[in-house]
Amino acid sequence: MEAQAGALRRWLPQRVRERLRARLSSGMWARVAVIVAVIGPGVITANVDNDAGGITTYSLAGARFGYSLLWTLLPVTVALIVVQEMCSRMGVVTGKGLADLIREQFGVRVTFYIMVTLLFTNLANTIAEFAGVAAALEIFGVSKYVSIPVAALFVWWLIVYGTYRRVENVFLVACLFYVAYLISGFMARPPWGEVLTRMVVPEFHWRGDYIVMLVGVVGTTIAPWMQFYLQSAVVEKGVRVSEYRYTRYDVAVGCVVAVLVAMFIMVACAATLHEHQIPIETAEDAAWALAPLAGRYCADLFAFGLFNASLFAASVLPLSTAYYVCEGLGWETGIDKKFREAPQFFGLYTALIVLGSAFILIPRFPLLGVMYISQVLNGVLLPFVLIFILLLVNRSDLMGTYVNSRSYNVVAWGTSVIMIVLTLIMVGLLLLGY
Amino acid sequence: MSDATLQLNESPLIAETQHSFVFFSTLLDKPVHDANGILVGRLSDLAVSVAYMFPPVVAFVVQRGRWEKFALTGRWSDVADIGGTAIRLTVGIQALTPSKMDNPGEVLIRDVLLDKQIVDMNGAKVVRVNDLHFLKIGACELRLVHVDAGTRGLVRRMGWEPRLDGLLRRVAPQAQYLSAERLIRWNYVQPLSLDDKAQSIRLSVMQRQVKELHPADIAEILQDLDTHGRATMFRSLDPETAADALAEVDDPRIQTQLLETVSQEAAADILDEMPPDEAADLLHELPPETSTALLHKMEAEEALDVRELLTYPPDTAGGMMTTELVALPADLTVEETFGRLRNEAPDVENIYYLFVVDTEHRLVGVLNLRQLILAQPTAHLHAIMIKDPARVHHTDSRDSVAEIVEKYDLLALPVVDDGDVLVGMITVDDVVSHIANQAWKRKLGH
Repeated sequence: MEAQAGALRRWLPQRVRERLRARLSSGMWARVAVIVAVIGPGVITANVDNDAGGITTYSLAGARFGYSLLWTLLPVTVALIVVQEMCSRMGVVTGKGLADLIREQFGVRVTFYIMVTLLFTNLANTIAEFAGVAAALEIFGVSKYVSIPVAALFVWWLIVYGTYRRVENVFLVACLFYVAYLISGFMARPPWGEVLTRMVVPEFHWRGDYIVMLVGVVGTTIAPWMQFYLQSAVVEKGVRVSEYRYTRYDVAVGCVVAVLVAMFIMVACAATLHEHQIPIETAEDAAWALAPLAGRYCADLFAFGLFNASLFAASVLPLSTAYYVCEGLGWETGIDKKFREAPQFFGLYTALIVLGSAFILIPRFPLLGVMYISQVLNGVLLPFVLIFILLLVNRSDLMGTYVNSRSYNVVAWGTSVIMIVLTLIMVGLLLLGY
Repeated sequence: MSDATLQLNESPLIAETQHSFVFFSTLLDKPVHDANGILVGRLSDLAVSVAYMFPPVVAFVVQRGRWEKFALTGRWSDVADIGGTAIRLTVGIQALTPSKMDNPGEVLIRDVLLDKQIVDMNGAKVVRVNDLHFLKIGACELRLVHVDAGTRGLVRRMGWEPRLDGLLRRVAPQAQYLSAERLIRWNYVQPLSLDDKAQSIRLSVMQRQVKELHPADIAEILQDLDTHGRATMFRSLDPETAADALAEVDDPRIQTQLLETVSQEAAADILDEMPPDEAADLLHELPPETSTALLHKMEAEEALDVRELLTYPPDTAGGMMTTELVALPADLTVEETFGRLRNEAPDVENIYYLFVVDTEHRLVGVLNLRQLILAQPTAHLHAIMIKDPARVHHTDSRDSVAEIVEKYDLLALPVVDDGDVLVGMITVDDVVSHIANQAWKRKLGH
């Protein structure tokens, strides 16, 4: 008797649960569940995108050139969405990372040279991230000879002891700091009419430093290493082709947010620093852009934001670089492996952090300069990475019906060509001494 | 490498003939001349027949033209010599077919092997192919014997091998690199990008190697692979191996992804082979329509067990337990018990703990196999069992289950309902994986 009663009680909740499940699966909740499961890589990538190099480059752009680079942001947004969408689509459809695909489709030689170039550029970017840490903490009065070794050890420990995932959320929340630029941008009362016009009307100056900045802005927004990172993140998330459209939103939202942040940094810097002819020579100067909001605390606020952004990217960049270089060259990867099992992987990872931080310790190392120049380097490398992405995403044996549409190809090829031409003009003008 | 090669040398197949080894990278891009000495083009690929233990090269592809490239295919039997600076053919250029070949069972190795990931069944890991190693018998018979996954292969592909070797011999003659070949014997290689036909031929050749792997190793390989490789590998397993491997995969998202790569019939077969508690956990993760459909396709008896388990929320004792257990009446003798076990136990995962129940199926005692073996054959169970053993209610939380298992050092814990009726048992491995998961989650901060 009692057993029967028990059985009856057990049946009841199942009925209820089944009905609940049916409700959930048919309605909006199922969709929400899918979105939550799929969302992430795009938004995270966007926030990592605004790293030390990003903040510096946008600040410099606003301070030096006022509103005259604002117009680039709209086309850059389109290009950024197109590029990141291609990478995440490749990730979902092929289930492979970008480095894997390059290796499988173009062979050892091409892969080797791309990986060496990326390694070099990413080392420059890593140096920039540590430069950001050093610059931010110097505002708080911490010597770089203290902050950098500590930061390097911290980053290394985060990853090797598997605490990164937990800290990632802290980083993401701290990214709300960018709201400060938004508010400050409004409080500085920029001439909105002019801002809006110059957002849409392109202008061009035949000056070496203007074009270098242009390449830097594009390079920091569409950083080549981000594309590798994004594609791997999408693959790791295990997004199914049927769920792909949500990833698409994720990527688009991330891109728009990233560029909005860029825009407000530029506007805030233009309305304050450029307006008062304050040149940015140290990171502390760049903090004046936040003065309308934070007054005399602007330096602290800026230092906090720069510190978070730099440390966030410094945690991600060396690791993802080590990952895809090893994957491309067929070496064992994985944080959960022992050093002996994956010597190249751990060797590269450690070397990037050690070298990246060692440069900063050189006395009178130009912190701001390296943050900026590394982004220009990104811009120079971008078209070449983009060409490989395009060649891959248009192969129907890989992508099936998910090959690029015509308009995508126009935008992406256009971006590559423009970037190559810009680089040539830049090199030419610099050689001629303009 | 050494013993693998040695064994091969002793093989009767090639005992009498002259032989040596050739790397694919040294043949790639070599000029090809036809019988009249005319340059046909450059070698771009070789086709092997995968139906053999060590696949022979059966055809070749030549790339012709500098700007507008096109492929010509010829049979390997028309090749006269590969030793010199060029590959010489015995036929004229007109004997070649102007297309890429497409014969079932023959695969182009550059397409499916070179630079691709494969599974090394011997080392149980996923590696990337840097080069391929052929045994050359006589003038030009080639057989694929090894896959090169080492750094030497990488250096060779870059074209740096002679120079780097020379340099290293001078500066560091003891360098590990100079002797460290990483060759994987072909019979341990599981390619991942073969088409279905070639795949099934290949698999029938290497079925034994898969069986020799521990399910946990297969699970690790599956988790290391990308989505497509995962699907290929998983589809190639027989239901029993697939079930064991699936139970060892710890990421539920990968588990469901794997189950979705096979047909519903195959998925139901795999679920049949799994312990009901694992199967129930897995079905919990699937969309309800899919799990209902799978339950219908499963064998009735297994499905019943799983269905019952599905009624318990996954984070309770009921959700953790299995219904496969041995329950015995108290008045049974030890000897009779052995008889019962021989009949019933083969289907039960864990028989180290036996439960004693009354006529209403209420739990009254427990005994382990050791007590049973040491007892007199004529003794009754109620005399040797431990009375009133530790137990949990099916609604108890995972944490309290872990606590009790840890406190009493149990290998299996009985689960009862409100009326003290035995409904299942939790084995220590489920608790361990829960504790491990907890630790892991703490580490990842979820």
